[in-house]
Amino acid sequence: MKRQHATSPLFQTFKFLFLKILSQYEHYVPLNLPPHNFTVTEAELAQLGRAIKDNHALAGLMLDEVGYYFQLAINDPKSDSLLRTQLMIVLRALFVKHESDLRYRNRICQERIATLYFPYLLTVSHRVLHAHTNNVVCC
Amino acid sequence: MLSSLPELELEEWLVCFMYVLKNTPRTTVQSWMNLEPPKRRLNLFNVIDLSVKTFVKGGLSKQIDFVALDIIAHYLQHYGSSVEDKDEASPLLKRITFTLQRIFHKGEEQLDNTSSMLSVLFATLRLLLNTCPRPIFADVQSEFVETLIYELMRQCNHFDPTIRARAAALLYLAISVCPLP
Repeated sequence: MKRQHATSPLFQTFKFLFLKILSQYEHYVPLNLPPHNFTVTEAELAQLGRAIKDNHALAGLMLDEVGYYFQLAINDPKSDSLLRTQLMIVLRALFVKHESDLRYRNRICQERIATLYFPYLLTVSHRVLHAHTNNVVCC
Repeated sequence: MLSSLPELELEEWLVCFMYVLKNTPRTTVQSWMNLEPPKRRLNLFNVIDLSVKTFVKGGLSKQIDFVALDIIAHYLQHYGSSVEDKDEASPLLKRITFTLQRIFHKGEEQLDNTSSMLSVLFATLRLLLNTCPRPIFADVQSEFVETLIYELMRQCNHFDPTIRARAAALLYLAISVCPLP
């Protein structure tokens, strides 16, 4: 369903609930096929979001939503904050699950899982560019 | 603008950011830094600084500070020597010193940083003083140098003898690398 048809808060709350159920699934990590060796090249950097979405479906879905709502947060920080917080709580719960999962306690597993969410770093650091460049001393 | 988000929401964005940053392989972080223009690199450190500023109390704050110090140390290791030559790098260095100051002040507010935190902080400071002493002692950074010297002298009275020794050694290093006027 296209996003413009899905702007009602109730619909969005249900969407986040659906994402939460998906992300709390026991075999969420294997379903995402975390990458083995991951190096970023210049050409890849621009297309990374698309590549993650194509190859690692569930993490891609999550990143897609997070990217969309991050843009909304940057455009209009004060409105719909509670709604965005709901999504971020889902993402945070997912990360807590990854970190506390006994199957993935070692460093290599954690690194492979975090690689799935690497585009999130790009989303945040690229899109706040204009917000902070003129404000070095105090943000 | 990220910092104008309501506190609760901002915390959620930042904690997720720091989790991913903490666990991303350092080789990936390095190749990312290599590819980014300096302005975007500065932005990464802006977000890190905002995280250090936002999380003040509790265990989470310590973890965030450790990740921040780790990334700063990683940056200095690979780019520290090039900071002196490039003018565009100076806002970044300013931001880094600002973050380090915040971590110092946090220790003051919570009575004291733990020994493990101080060890990592000192290691990062040693790297900073060794790799780019000239911009650190430039006029624009005087506030940072003031905090640095004050905190090092304060830590020379720390109850842990290892921390005392490290603080004294770092103070000596700061004096020895300070360029003559």
